[in-house]
Amino acid sequence: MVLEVDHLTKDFGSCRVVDDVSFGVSEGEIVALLGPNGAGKSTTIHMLLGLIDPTSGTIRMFGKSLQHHREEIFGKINMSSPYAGFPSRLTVLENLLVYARLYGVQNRQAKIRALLGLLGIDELEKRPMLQLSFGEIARVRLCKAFLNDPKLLLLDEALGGLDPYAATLAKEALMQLQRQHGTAILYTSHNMVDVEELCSRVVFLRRGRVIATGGPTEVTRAILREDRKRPALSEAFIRASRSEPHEVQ
Amino acid sequence: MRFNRIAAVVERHLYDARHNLERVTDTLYWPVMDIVVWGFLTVFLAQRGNLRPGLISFLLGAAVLWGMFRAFQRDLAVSFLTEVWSHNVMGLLTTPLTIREYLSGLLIINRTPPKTIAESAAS
Repeated sequence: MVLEVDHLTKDFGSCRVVDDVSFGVSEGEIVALLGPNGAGKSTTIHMLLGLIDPTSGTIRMFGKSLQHHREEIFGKINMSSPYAGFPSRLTVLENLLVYARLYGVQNRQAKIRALLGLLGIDELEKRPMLQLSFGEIARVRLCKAFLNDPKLLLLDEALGGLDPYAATLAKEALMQLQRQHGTAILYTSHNMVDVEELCSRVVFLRRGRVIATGGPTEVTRAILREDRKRPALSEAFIRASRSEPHEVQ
Repeated sequence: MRFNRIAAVVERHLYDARHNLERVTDTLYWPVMDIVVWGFLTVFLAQRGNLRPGLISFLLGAAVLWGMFRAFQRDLAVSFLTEVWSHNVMGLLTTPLTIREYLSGLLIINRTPPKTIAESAAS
């Protein structure tokens, strides 16, 4: 198991935002962490990245705790989050060169140019970040996330703001990374079509609790309480958002 | 401590200096201003005969040392604040970079002679 999350709980004062969440991600698996706004997805990702401490519960990556093996683990994982920016005066290439050096990437320029080409933004190489659109910055974030050929990739709304062509390129790049390096991906998104297309398993959160888990079709069945042959996560998402958490558990 | 990660921090701030001349002028301008102001004060006091000769060099030396410490703490703080302002802290905290390596990088870049930074900025 690449990632094991066990009884993870996070309280902010008296407000419990993540409540006894447990799940795992195996090598080469793409798992979606879904839920309405405020369900606790980003907080969970931030705890996985060691940015905030859990109130209780444990997180293990590659069988090790992040607290005691930080350098080793961060060398093998990467992330993309809309909360993470780049120095705005630096160009795309300069920003990626700095991150490539931090990850100890060999042949940095060639690697970066290959990734920029893969995501269709090779012409942006010399542009300062402050001149880029939201969607272009999202693609630069993905380039940064792919730099060290991670074994575990944490993607928080990584495809948000991308046009259909850019999103297709990004999904192809994700699949390529997963095939070539056996990368495990934990993916949060509000685009259910992307989730059905990419993810083999779904962990559905509502008000900080896991209300359904399994393949996209299983989660659809569990939430809609109907025998469905195909996944219908959009429908399930709306039903889950309207219901009280105990009604869909 | 890994040298490549310290070098990455240095590289990041050299790129910043290339695009942001305020950083270079800050490094040069304020220490020079301090020395000029304290220098004039020392000369003024010396001309009025209120200072013993040894005190003049003492005051100027103190001004230089004060300027150095002030520039040092300001540059270190601004270097970190630029990461906060650009929302880059989260990116850095989720790499293998350690606090020691980050601080070592900042110490190196902030003690790099202004001439070298200016040359890098010009290139």
